[in-house]
Amino acid sequence: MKFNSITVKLGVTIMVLFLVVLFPLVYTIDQMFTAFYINQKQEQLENFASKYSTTITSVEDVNSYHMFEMLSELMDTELFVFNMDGEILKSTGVLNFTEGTNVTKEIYNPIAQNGTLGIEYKAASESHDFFLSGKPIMVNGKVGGGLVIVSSMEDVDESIEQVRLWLLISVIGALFIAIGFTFFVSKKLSNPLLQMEQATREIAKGKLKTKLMIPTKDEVGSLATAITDLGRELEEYRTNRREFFANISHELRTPISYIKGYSEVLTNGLVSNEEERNQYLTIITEEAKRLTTLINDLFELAKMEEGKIDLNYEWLDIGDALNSSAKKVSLKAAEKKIEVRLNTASDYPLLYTDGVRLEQIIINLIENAIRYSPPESRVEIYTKTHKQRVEVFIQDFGMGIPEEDAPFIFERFYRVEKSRSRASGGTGLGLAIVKNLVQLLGGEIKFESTQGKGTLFKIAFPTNQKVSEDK
Amino acid sequence: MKKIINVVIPLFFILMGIGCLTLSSTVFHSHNALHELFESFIGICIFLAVSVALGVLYIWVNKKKNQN
Ligand SMILES: Nc1ncnc2c1ncn2[C@@H]1O[C@H](COP(=O)(O)OP(=O)(O)O)[C@@H](O)[C@H]1O
Ligand SMILES: [Mg+2]
Repeated sequence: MKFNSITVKLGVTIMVLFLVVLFPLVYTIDQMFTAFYINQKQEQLENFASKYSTTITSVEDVNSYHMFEMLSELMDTELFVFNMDGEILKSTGVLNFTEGTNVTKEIYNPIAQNGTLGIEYKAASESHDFFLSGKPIMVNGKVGGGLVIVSSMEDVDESIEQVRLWLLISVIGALFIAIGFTFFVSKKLSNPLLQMEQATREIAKGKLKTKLMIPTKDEVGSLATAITDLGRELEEYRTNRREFFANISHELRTPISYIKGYSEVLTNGLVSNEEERNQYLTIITEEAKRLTTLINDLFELAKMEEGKIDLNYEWLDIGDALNSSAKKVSLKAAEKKIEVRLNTASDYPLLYTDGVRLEQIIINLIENAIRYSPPESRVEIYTKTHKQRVEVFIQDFGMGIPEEDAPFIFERFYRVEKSRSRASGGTGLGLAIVKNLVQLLGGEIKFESTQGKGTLFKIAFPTNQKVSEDK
Repeated sequence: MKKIINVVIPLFFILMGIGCLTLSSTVFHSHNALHELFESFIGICIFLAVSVALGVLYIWVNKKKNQN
């Protein structure tokens, strides 16, 4: 495990959180215990002082004190009694409270005022503190003197130390438990992340079908699905590209082999007459033209797919676009004696779009309609205007598209009948370009076809300027 | 091998922790220390088990929710 790994980071975070809670708690408990112990002790002393002070009936008569020494021994405390002059009359002889000396004001004042004495006392000669607890001795309803109990705080301090030690041990215990569980929890939390990291590495290495099994439905789960999808998409892209290159080389090779073959025939002087020669030359020109178209189309597609195509938006009458497209294909239509019927009756709306690209789309579709229709049929073009969009229909009555080919005709190089398409100058890129262009212009393309009866291509564009631009 | 270490180390920590807690909760009982030791050991284990069970319950509920 690396020190910088996510597991460690998570673990440390959990531990820090735990300590943040634990330390203040422990401090509070320690304070509580300390105060409690000291209070307990002091109350005990006070109690004893107040009880014992009532047994003294005469302060001056030191011999009348009951069991003075014995009590001191039993309670493990020291006692002394002083009169109202502050002079100590009897003492068990502790610290400097010896008989005959005077007490300080600190001790004298509270008792003389019929109050309770309770102070901590630091003796210079001893290492630990003492606690003085005192009560007045009442004689005939008046304060006749004071009884003071001196108790060492040593044992209390020792108890507190002990508690503190064991508190520390239990804190360490709790810490151990936390560490133990943190191991599990941080492993569990970071596991999907580590799994994903590995999966992405595998994908980068080329194992695109790497599958991630993270069933959770939170962000982590959706990230895992995204990674799996990414791999699949990349895989698809790779196959696509492989196919694409195979297709390109095939499509390029065919015209080149024609050109090469016929030009060789010509250079070797293997032609018998002028007519044959001209025929061969025509084929060479045709194939060169096809190569140009193919390369242009490929270039166009590549630009589109990389999004490197500039669109010049303008307001235009869709009728104008249809008319000029129809004019441009009229020569091809005339060759096959096909009538291109443009329904000019409706009121064409304005469209905010790129005119050149729009014409490219329409010309491509009309050319297909002409190409895949028998001679002397017709192609109909009409539009429908809706509130938010315009639809353009291009209808032919030709061979139609077989149902099993329908899903693929927008793919590059896909042709239903290769030979027929080729014979009529098709590259198989037309519809791929059309689809890309329509999407770039924010439109939609669909088609309906019945084999043997004809095909209807529908393209729809939004009329709203904002929508067109946003897309 | 690595798997075993990954389980053994945390388990060791947890057991150590339980040991420390049991000891410190028994240390001030001077009568019948063995009984107290046992009792506090059980108590700590129960408290741990309850909290762990809560966590497991949460994970389980989440899983159930995801399956639907
Ligand atoms: N109007 C149509 N009628 C029948 N088939 C069509 C029509 N338009 C397209 N197709 C089929 O879809 C295929 C792909 O079209 P396209 O991409 O334009 O390639 P191309 O026209 O170069 O063959 C065509 O080869 C053809 O089989
Ligand atoms: Mg075409």
